[in-house]
Amino acid sequence: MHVIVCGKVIPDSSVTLQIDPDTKRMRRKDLPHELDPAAAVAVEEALRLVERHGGSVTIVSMGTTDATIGIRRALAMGATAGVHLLGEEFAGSDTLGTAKALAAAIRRLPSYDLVICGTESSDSYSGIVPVQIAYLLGIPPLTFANKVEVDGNSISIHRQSETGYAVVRAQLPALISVTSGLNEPRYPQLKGIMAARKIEIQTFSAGDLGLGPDDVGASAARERVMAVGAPPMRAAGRIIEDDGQGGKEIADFLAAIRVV
Amino acid sequence: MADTIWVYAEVVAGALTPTTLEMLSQAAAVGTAEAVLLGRAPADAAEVLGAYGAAKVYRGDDPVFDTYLVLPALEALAVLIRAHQPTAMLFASSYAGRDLAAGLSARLDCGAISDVGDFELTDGGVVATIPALGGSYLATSTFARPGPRLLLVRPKSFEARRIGGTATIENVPAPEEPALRTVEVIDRVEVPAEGPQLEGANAIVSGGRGLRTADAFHMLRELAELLGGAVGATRAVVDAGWVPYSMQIGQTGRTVKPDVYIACGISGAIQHLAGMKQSKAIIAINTDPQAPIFQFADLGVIGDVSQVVPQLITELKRRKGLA
Amino acid sequence: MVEAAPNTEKLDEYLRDIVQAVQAACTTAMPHLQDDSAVVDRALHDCEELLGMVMEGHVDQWVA
Repeated sequence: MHVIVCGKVIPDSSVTLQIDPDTKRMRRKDLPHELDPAAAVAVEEALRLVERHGGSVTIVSMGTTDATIGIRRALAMGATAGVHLLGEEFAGSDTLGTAKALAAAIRRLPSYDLVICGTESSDSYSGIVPVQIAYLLGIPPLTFANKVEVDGNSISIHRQSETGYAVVRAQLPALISVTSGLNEPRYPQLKGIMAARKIEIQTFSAGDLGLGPDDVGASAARERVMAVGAPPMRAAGRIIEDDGQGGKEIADFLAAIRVV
Repeated sequence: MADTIWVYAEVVAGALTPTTLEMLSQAAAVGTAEAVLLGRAPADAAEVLGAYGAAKVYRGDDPVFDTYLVLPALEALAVLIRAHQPTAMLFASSYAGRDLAAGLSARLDCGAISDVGDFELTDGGVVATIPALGGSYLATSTFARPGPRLLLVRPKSFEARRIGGTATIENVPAPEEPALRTVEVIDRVEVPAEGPQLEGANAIVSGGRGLRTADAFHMLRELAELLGGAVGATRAVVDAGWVPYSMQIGQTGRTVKPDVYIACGISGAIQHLAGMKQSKAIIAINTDPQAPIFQFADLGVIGDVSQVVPQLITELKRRKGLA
Repeated sequence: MVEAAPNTEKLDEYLRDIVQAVQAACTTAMPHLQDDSAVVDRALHDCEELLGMVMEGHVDQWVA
C-alpha cells in the first residue's frame, strides 16, 4: 500500500515560541526546527502499516527551507519519498489554505491508499486540517485514532470518544488522524540517515500546484489575527508562600475558575 | 434585526453536553440563539435547549447521523446554513465539533477560528479571543471574508444559564446520498471510568521529582478523583520507575490541554512545559521559589507538596460536603 | 546564528541529522531504563554507530 503522511515541521519545542507583534505570526526564522512530534507518530504508524502489508511511505510537508530537516527525519525513519511545498506564496496560509496546498500536492503523487495526519500540530493545535484535506480529496475521514488496523481494502480505527472509544470503519482510500499516544516513533539510525541522503526531495511551488493568491497564503486567509497581546490572567500570576493556607488558596482559585 | 447565532448541540452519555448549554447561553445573550441537534438525544432535549436560550431547534433524529460519522451531518448542516445564513455558528472543541467545523469550512470555503475563549459581534463581523501558544499570548481574530463564520469554542468559556424559554422545532431530514455513508460506526465501547484519559481530562494533577517518593502519587490520585481529572507525571519520575510511561507529559510524552494543570513538585523543565503549556490555568506547588514553573503558573504556592496537597484535599472534601 | 559557508551546507545538514538522531535515541531509551533493557541496549548501540561514524571523520563520504 502507498501511505502518505502529512506532517508539519515546527520550531524545536524546547525553544520558547513567540509571536512577532508586527506580523502577528509566530517567529519561526533562525530557530532550530524538527519534525512535529505528532507527525513523527503519524510516520511511525505509516511505517508499521507498510511493514505489515507491504508498500511505501511518502512524507509531505509545507514549510520554509527549515522544513527539510523534518522531511529528512521522516526519510531517515524509513519513508522513501519526500515532498516539500515551498515558497513565499504559502506564507501566512490559514488552515484551509494549508489543506488546499497539501491536497493539491497529494493529487500529484502516485495513487495512494491512505493519508495519515497527526490529530493536532504541537505548535498551533487547531486540529482541523486533517478533515479539511479529506474533504478536498473526497475520501472518508477517520479521526482521533488510538488504534489502527488495515484489513484488505478496509481500515478500522478506535476513535477516541468522551466515554471511551468507537470502532469506526471505512473503505480505502481514506484519511486518518492519529493521537499522540498511539505509538512511540522510532528514532533514525545511521543506515536510515545515509539512505535518506540519496533520496531527492520533490519540491512544489504554489504555481506548480495551480494554486494562486485566492487559495493559499495570507491573501487567501479567511481568518485574520487582529491583535496579539499579553493575556491578563497570566500576567497577574500570583505566587504565595504556604503558611498552612496554601491548600485553601488553591481551592479558592479552583472555584474561581469554575473547576470545582 | 438581531444576529442569529447557531450552536451545534451534542449529546454524550445520554445528556446534552455542558459546553452545548454554555455556548447556547452566550449565543442567547448576544443575539438570537438557535440550535442544531442531529442524532440520538434524550426525549426532552429540545425542551432543555429552549430553556437554555434556543429560540429554535433544527432536529434531525434519523439513525444515519449516529451510524455514519461526519459526512451526513456535514451535508445537513451545509444545507441549513445556506438556507438560513446565521451570523455565526458555534461548535464545541470536541471530537465531533472539530470534525464538523473542519468539514464545513472546506465545503463552504469559509473561515473557522479554533480554540475560542470569547467572542463579540461587531459591525458585520465576529471577533474572537483565543489564548495562543499556551496562554503566553492572547490573540483576537476575525473573519476576513464574507461567508459563514465558524467558531470552535473551548469548554467552560461561558456560563450556562437556564432562562426558561421555549424553542420551536423544525425537522431536519436525513441526507440521502450513499456517498455520505462511508465512515461507519461498528461499535461503541465504554471504557470504565478509571478517570478520564490524560488527553481529554479537564483537570490534571501531575507529579515530579519534588514529590520525593513514588508513594506520593496516591495523594495525587485522590486529588485527581476529587476534581474528576487524571494524573500525569514528568519524565524524571518515569525514568525513575515511579509511574508508567503512559503517564508521561512532555515533549517525549503526551500533550495535554486541560482547564487546570496542577504541577506538584515539578520544576518546569522546558521539555515538560512543551506538553502542558496549553493548559488554560496552571497551578504550581514547589518548595523552590526559583523553579521555572512559577513563571508560567497562574497561582504558585511555595510549599511542600506533602503538606499543601492534603490541605487541598481536605478543603475540597469539605466544600463537597464529604469531610 | 553563524552563517553557513556555501560549501559546508551539506556537511551542516548531515551533522544536524546525526545530532538529532543521537538525541532522539536517548530520549527514546531514557523512559525505559527500568523496564526494557532491550530498547536501551539498542539505543546505545545505535548511538555508538552514529558517533563512531563522526569520529572516523570520512567527510567525503558524508557529503557524497
